[in-house]
Amino acid sequence: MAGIMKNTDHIETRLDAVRMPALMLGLVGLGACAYSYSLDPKNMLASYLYALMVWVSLTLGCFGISLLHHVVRGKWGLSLLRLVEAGGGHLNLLTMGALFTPILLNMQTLYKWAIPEVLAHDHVLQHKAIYLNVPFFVGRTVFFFLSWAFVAWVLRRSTLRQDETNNDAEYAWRTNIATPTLVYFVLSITSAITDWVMSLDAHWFSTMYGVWFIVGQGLITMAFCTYIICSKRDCSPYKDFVNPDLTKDLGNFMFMFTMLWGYTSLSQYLIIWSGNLPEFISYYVDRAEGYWNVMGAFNIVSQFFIPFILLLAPRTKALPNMLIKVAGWIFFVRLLDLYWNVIPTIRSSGFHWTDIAAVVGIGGVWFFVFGTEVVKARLTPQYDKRLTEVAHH
Amino acid sequence: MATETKYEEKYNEPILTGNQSHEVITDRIGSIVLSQEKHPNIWWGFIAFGVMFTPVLVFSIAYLVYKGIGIWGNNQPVAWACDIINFVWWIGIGHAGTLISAILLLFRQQWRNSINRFAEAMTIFAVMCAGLYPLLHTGRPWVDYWIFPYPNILGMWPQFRSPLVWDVFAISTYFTVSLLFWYIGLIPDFATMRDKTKGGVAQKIYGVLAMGWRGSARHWHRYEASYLILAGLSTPLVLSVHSIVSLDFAVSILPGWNVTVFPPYFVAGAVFAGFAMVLLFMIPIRKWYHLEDYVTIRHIDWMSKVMLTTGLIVFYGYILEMFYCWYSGNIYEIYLCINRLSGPYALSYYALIFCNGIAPQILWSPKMRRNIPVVFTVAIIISIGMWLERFVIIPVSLHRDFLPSSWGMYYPTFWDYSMFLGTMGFFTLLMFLFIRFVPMLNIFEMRDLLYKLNIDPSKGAGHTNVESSKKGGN
Repeated sequence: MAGIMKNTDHIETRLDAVRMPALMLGLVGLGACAYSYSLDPKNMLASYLYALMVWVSLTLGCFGISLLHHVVRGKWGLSLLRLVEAGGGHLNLLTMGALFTPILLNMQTLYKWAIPEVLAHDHVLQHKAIYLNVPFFVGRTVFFFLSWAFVAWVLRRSTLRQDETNNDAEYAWRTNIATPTLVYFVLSITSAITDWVMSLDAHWFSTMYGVWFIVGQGLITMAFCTYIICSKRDCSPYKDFVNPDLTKDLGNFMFMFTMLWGYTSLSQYLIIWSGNLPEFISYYVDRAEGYWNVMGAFNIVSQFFIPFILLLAPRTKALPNMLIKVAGWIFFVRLLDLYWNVIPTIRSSGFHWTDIAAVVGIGGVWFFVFGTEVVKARLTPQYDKRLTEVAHH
Repeated sequence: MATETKYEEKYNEPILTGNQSHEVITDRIGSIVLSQEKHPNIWWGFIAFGVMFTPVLVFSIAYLVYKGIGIWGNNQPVAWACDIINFVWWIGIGHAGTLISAILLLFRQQWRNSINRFAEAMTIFAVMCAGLYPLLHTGRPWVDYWIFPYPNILGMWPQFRSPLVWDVFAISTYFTVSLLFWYIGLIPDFATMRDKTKGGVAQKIYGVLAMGWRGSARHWHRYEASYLILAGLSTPLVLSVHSIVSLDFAVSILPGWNVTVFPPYFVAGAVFAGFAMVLLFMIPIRKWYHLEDYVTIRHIDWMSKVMLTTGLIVFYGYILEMFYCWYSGNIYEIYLCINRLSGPYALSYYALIFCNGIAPQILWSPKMRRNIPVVFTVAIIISIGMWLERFVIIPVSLHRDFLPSSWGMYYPTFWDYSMFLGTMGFFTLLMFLFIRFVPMLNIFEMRDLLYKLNIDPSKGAGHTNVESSKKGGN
């Protein structure tokens, strides 16, 4: 444990300072959710599922980026590895899994296919019942979280071990684990998002949905990491390596994910819109009514055009202050986009105060775990000197 | 740890080997163009193949124009068949060139330098072959100019909501930008050729092509700027061209075509097929022309990795198609899958899964990625597999649609085969003429790479290249 004793990375950055306030807010938010549940379970569960999707997408995004880093071992990944290890670590994955309990206990409130009477009169749902049934759904969710958490734990242990022993064999070991896991990651998330969100309307499906969700995870995660790195750029250890080269890389990653988000969203929309088949179009019809339409249009502008134009300019990527604003904006509009995807299928009435309570509640717990995990290690991997090497040039 | 060092040493080959200097690089690559003796007899073999089959293409087209597209096997219900399969196949092959030259440039991947010229040439020739098919499939190719929106007295205006019209713009832009990109990259090398040629017509031609390049700082500055701009322009084209091709199918309401994941899945498939084709040509050519120092095992390893990754994405697409066909609960969607798995063309589906899903998995092994016969075989299998993929998507989805009374079978005719063989001959002819008359590797980028490896070895692929390139610098 000598590595932890020498750890001075957190004296200035104080990423753990967020822990207690976050936990308080989280408990208040979850308390409010519990109260609201006693009044109107369906509204509260809709908000709760939405909030879970927000924080699960960040958690899985962190996990996915860490897998990607272990596969390609790019230099850019070193700057944010410890953030994504904490955000998408085994503890956060298990916490998110545990927070799924209210959903799993109230399947019939949210998912029509789980109601026996509905099932009895719907032969399409009967056809899907082998896959969409409560025990299998619960089993899949539990299994996915356990398997993700297990791999996250193995990889995290390996980077910590390498910090202490400096044994290069760990590189290959992690790559060998992370590469097949990345394949599993994509397949499992496709299945998970089909369960959690797509099956809210069990007659609708889109093959793009898993890809779209994975891209969204990448986007929110890069925004999150960029925000932290740029806002702590004057603190050790970030001040040693945050330079225009790095901010350019981070900005370009957000740029790439922004374009991929636009690409996947547009492709899905265009294909469903021009097909105009009753079973597919329902998704967009639900979202074309009233202010959902306005929100959808706002999503296009706010999540594609604004970041796209800002991040196209090299100047934005050279100025950390500017990049913070863009990253914060992207993080915020990701919340709106997920809202637009999850909520209209469940309730047509739109906004409810529990939406905010749930996001704050689950987010508070998330940040508590993140703060706890992030201080357990140095903020940059000590075994790989590429980040600081550049600083000396 | 001991075994690990061995692993890293074993699998971190340099991206430039041999005793290199700027003169050596110029001479080794340039002399292939300057001296016919450098060309092995097999070069004549391929030229002969090209010269033999290009007229087949010309004759097939002539007969098609004379007789009409009824000479092909296309008919209701399979109105799109080999012509569109071959169109998509060829256009997909082109994508590796653009990916290597543009995206890898923006990602600052230095290993691209030795293969980009070659892959870009492939792009241009493949797009030429691809473009023929839809132009001829219009049935009246002499009025193909109607697809352009121009003011006319016919009152004709293209249907802008149709992806077929988007194709026209996407592909013509793609071709133009690729050609410009390729040509701009060639200018400094044309100047080298002009300076190395000893008089005669050749020098005049290279001189004209070099556009007065003198290698001044100002020239280089403008070159770098325009090259980067073209790379930026090409990057979205890599995604857009094949996405739009995929929309030709996806915007219809046909089961098997109306699939939302088609755009990224088609793009991945295109890169997959493109890399397979680059390897298919590069592996023998590096041996015949003794270019092993420039296109090293490291390059083959990297290209195999790209192939494996894109192959996995394509396989993911197959899994999505199958799963959601079932998940839809829609009888037509479900029947589509049943028909693929057990219909009259089931064999092509299983062959497809073998070629694109199973065979590339051998590339997980670092040893196999370095085994040239294995990589070459996998590349052949993938090229076949990607043709089969389009076969499964196009005729197999079409031949049994909603009404069993309108079901039918598709059989290609002699003219379907002759035209495909003809495009292959044409493509081969162009590729081998390119090898003969244009430096097939980028001479100045290789010199630049050597310089960079000498000043900053860490930018190279592995530690061993330091030694080799330093040796070269002496």
